[in-house]
Amino acid sequence: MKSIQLQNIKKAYDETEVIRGIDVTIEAGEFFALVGPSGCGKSTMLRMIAGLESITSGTLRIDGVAANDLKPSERQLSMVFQNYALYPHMTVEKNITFGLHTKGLTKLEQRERCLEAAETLGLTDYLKRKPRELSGGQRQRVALARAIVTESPICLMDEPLSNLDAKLRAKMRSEIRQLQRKLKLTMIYVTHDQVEAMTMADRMMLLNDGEVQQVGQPLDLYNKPANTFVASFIGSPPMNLTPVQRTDNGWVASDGRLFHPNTLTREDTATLGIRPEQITPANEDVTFYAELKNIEVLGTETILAFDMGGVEWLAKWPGQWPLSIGEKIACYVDPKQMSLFDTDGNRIEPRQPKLFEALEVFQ
Amino acid sequence: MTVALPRQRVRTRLSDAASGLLYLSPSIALFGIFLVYPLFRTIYLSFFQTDTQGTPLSYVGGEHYAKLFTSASFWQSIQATVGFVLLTVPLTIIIALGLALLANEKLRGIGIFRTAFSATMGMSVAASSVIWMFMYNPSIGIFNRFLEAVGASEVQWLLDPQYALLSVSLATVWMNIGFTFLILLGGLQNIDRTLYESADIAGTNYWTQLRAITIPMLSPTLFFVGIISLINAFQTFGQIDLLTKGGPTNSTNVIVYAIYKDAFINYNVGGASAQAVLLFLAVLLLTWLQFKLVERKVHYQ
Amino acid sequence: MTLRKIITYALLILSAVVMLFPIAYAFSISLMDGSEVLKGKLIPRDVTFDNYIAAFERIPLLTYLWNSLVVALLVMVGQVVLSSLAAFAFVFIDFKGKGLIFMLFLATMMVPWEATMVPNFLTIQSLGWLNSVWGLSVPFFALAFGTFLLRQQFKTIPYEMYEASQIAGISRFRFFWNVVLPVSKTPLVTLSVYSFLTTWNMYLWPLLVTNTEQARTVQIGIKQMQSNEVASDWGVVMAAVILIIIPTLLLLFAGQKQLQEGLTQGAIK
Repeated sequence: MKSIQLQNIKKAYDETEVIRGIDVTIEAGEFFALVGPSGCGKSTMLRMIAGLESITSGTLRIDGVAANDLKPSERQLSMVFQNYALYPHMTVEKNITFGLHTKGLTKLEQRERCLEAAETLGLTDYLKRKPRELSGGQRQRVALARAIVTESPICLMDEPLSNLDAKLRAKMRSEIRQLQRKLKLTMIYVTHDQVEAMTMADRMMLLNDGEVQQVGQPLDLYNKPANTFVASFIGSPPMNLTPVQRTDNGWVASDGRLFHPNTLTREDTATLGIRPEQITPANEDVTFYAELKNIEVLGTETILAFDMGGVEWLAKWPGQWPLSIGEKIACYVDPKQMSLFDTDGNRIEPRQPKLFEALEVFQ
Repeated sequence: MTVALPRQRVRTRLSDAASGLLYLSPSIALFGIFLVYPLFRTIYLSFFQTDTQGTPLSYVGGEHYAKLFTSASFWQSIQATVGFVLLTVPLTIIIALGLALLANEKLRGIGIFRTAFSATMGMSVAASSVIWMFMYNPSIGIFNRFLEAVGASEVQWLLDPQYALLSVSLATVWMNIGFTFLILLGGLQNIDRTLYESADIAGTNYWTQLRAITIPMLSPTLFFVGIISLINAFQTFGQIDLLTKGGPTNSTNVIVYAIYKDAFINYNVGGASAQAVLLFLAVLLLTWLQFKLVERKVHYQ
Repeated sequence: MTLRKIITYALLILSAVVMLFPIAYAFSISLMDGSEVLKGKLIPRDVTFDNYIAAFERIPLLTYLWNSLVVALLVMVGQVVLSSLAAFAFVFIDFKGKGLIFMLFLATMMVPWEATMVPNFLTIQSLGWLNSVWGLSVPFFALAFGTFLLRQQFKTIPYEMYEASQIAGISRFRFFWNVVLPVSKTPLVTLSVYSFLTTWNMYLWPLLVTNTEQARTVQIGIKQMQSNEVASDWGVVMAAVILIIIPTLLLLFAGQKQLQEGLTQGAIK
């Protein structure tokens, strides 16, 4: 098991900076997801770790050793590409073993390792086939086999599941995760799909425009998004956001609805964020009334759309609700679950319970 | 970036350059020896009087060029070359395009016709020329036999200055159709079928589709074929050597044949070099002109 | 059958007859005896293969065929090897000045080879390569068109394949040899057929650098034969013509489809 350390890593093409200084340590044996919208620099980041792109400045350490100038093959890692990069003219077996000779393995050892990897991924019956004779899912398994056969302690994956259909994707998510645990791999996994990151990763890093937005455990990012970008990227549907003004009574949206988030700040204007599933049907306390613009009944849940200060908000209610468009419904939101972001979009920390009480005494 | 590149990375970059050049070096070396050097050597020799072995003896400045421009035979060879180009290039492309359009129809047995139309690509200039020489034979060749049969008078196809260039050109068109056809057919087959399907749905007829879809979509290929044919026409040698030897009365003495005669028969290496330089410039100019003129009109997908 | 189909077939057949007529005519003449040829007949009354036997007896046709074969194969191998090495560098290796070098390669296509033949002849002479297969082949090994054609093809190979091999520690040359070449079979065949055809059919250069019977290629052989025997024996000449076009016609028919696809790709993509 190897750890990977990034110290102020930057990447620039000519004058354009695409990675603006990244500091993070990926622990040995950790499943680390790199997430972000397309063009955010996550693939570039991965390719710099792999040694396929040069590092403009900063230091990359693998297991404590500076690795900036090591060749890709010297970094003790394997990689799975989005399009799998299988050699079309070679059999599955040859695809898996091609390159093992560089590790000083005899033909016999190569074959043994290949069989073992094929066994693990259920490819034993396909070893003599060519990639074009395989289904998408099988090709993807060959790509995985090719990565694990090298027994490299670090594995990099660049959107490995994006070419599969939704059902297969869900299956492979869990398989990859199990494989990573079993082989104790240090995994860096690039994806644009936040669901993949949330379900697979021990920790994840969200990148936007070459800058780190937040690093942490998936639930940290979900529950305590560091800024509005994280809030709107993580979660499906994403967190509802609307601008609010401070008044003596509380925070007011532009349509006059009033909120009392559990937050103390000097700001006069802010952005209010509430997750769709935290908007619930009101029993006694009503936070606001909403006039329904659209309803999607999904069986296990119902998605309600309504207007909030000129922004469309969504609420997610569990179960099936026989509501109709134009209906007015009463909604409740726990003030503790409201997030507030300052004018720069950064999260304003909620008041701590103790401090909260102390202040109340003060007042 | 203000950060200095670590030393080792510089070394890897150098080794990339070195290895790139290593892969390119055989080609670069041979281009150097057999293309760049002789090109400059030719330019150099065109300013010198040489011995029969091509060793420069004395610098004569632009004398060879001056002589060329005042020599009737040079102008005649220009005339023959231009005439030859004009007689062969457009005709070859038009016929080959017609054949390609025919051979692009989806019909039973079309493969046989495609093979037949491309056959001349497998025919050498020498073999083709010998066949045409026989066909042009005044007493027993097919052309005069035909004229005789319809009661017309015989024609001295290759010996009459009036007909010689035309005869050689006709033979050349036949020789070049194979290659041109093959490329144009490939171009036609690369056109997206759905364009025609939507045109069919719109109810347009064959000629409208030809004008509105086929020709515009084929224009890059036509452009390529045009350049190649033009350059090839300027380089014609074999059929001239076999059919007419530049005659009669220099009427088919195209530029490459003139260079050959001057250099290897008359041993006037300086004069031949001067003509070679002019040939080079002409090809360069024409390629450039064609790019400039056609570039804008060519419809790239 | 629609009227349109009938017209198309009629045009196809007519064109094919016109295009193939000279070849069929030559074949027909090659089967006639001398007196029939001189009568200007189209089709022989008595088919005879004497002309073919005579062709082998009168000129060293086998030597010529052998020389042409050796030279064509040498140039084919040379062009394929040099073009693929160069194309590989242009696609898979990054270095400064690559674009410029590629432009220079393309520019060589604009130099008419005939414009440089005098110094080239002198070079071959001073190398002592007159009348040798080296003098006939080596000057043609570097081929910008071939490099261009293969570069277009190599560019379609996913770059990730190269990166995967880098991560696996596979050397650059091994990647070239074990991956790039095997997946590029079609364009390599195209280029090979093209090289072989053009070299086999080459005329001016062999005319310059060979002057012995032992060294001549078939194209020069046929010229010699035609100028020596012209008046008397057209049948024998045509028999020789048929013999020298058979290898290239067979090759063309076998490789026509690949040639057409490959050359078109090189032309427009």
